[in-house]
Parts: sequence; structure tokens; C-alpha cells
Amino acid sequence: MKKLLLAAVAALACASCAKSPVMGGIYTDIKDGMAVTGNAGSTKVGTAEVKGYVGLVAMGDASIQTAAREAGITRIHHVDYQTKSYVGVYTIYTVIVYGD
Amino acid sequence: MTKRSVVLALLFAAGVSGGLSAQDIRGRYVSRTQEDGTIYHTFPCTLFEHPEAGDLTFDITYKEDADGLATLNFTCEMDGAVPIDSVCFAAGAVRLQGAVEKLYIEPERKRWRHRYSLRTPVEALYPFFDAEAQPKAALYAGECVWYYRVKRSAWRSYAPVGRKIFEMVRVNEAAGR
Repeated sequence: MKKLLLAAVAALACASCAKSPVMGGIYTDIKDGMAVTGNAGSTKVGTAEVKGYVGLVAMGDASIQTAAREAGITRIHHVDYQTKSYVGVYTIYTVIVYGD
Repeated sequence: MTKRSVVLALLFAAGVSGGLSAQDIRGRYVSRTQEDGTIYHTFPCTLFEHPEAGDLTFDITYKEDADGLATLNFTCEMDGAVPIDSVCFAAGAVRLQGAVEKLYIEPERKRWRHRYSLRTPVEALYPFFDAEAQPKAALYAGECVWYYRVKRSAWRSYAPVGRKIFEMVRVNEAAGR
């Protein structure tokens, strides 16, 4: 039973490394592209993030809309994201929006 | 997985994450090269505190070869929805000050969340991040003023990072001319 519980926690912890094409079981630090539009250039950058704890609790708002609003962006140029995870215990997922 | 291996994994992760702190600027900013110049952005950082109003979180964006102005966006929580009209961030003799542009004001539980934008000369940012300074911020809304301060240890930890980022910006911009 104890082993089953540990396996469940480990699985949930790994699941918290969302959207990464590659992820490390112990440490993850990944940046990747999410979307590109036809709009030209960018002078503003906005971010939004969610945090996960032990793969059991996750909170935040990492929507593109929120990230854009944080910088007053109305025309999006492209969107990147970044994932960091420490043993699946603490995970941060950040959306980075570039635009004008 | 034994208890020992879990502890070892945690210690390894702590070591990796600890190695990224101090003056390592990786993970503290992003930059993208574009046709008309590189854009730099420091991730949001919470350093300034007000005993009643709470924390102030700021991030800075700068686009090379534009007008020499960086954008300092900041978020704070307040009891009221009265908009701030100007701000002054001071560290030593350096002042980042001026009228602010409101990005939004929205309710957050029992309080109000404010977000503003300040345009400031980029050359002031390198000297601003002086680890020996005692920085403070003042937010003005008409006659009302809110003063924010930074814990010495927090500033000593972040200032070298900020300085290194804007040293990099300065060097790259000078090299590109």
C-alpha cells in the first residue's frame, strides 16, 4: 500500500511537468515556443505563471491573455513558455508573451 | 525508491537550484533578437514591501535601438481603487521616477490589485542596482503617498543580478553600434 501511494505521488509529480517535450525526473529547466502570429515585431513582454507543489496542488493563471494584459499587449507577436521542476516537488510553468 | 535516494535527489535538486542563484542571471531574464533590435525582459521580482499595503512586484523590459527608454511595470495591492499618478524608485543617488500609465485596477479578495507602467532611461538601471544602496519606492496618488522599502538581504541578493543584466544590455548595445 505504501509503495502504491509513493508510485501515485511520483506519477502525479511527473505529470506536473506540463507541456514539456523533454523532462527530467530530478531537475527540469526548459524553454520552448508555443505560438507565432503574423504580427510584426514586439516592444513589450508579459509573463504569467502557475506553480505546482508535490504534484498534488497547482495554482495560478498562465493564460496568454493574462500574460498579455500584464504588459498591456494588444497585438501578440509570439508566445514562449518555460518549465522548471525540482524533483517534481516544486514546479513553475511560465508563459511569456511578446507583442505590442 | 528508498528514503535515502529520495533525500539524495532532494539534495541534488537543491544544489542545482542553489547554483542558479547568487549572481547567475540565467532564469532571471529572457531576451529575443528581432529585426529591429534585441528585446530584454527581467522576470517579475518582489522586493519592495509596505507594512500595510503589502508587496510590490516589478519587471523591466527594454528594446534595443528604440528611444533609450525601458519599461518598468509594477503590481501592488491597496485598500482602495484610487489610481496612482506617479512613482519614484530610489537607490542611492539614482532615481527612476515619473508619471505612470495605468495598465489595470481590479478587485482581489477584499483589496484592489493595481498594475502600472513607468518609462525610464535605460542607462539609469545599471547604477540603480547598487547592492550597497538602501532602495525605497514612493507611490503618489494626489496628496497620498505610500512608501515601500526593501530588506537589506533581499536587495543584496538581487541587486548584483539586476546590475549584471543591464551591464549585458549596455555592452551588447554598444557593440552593435
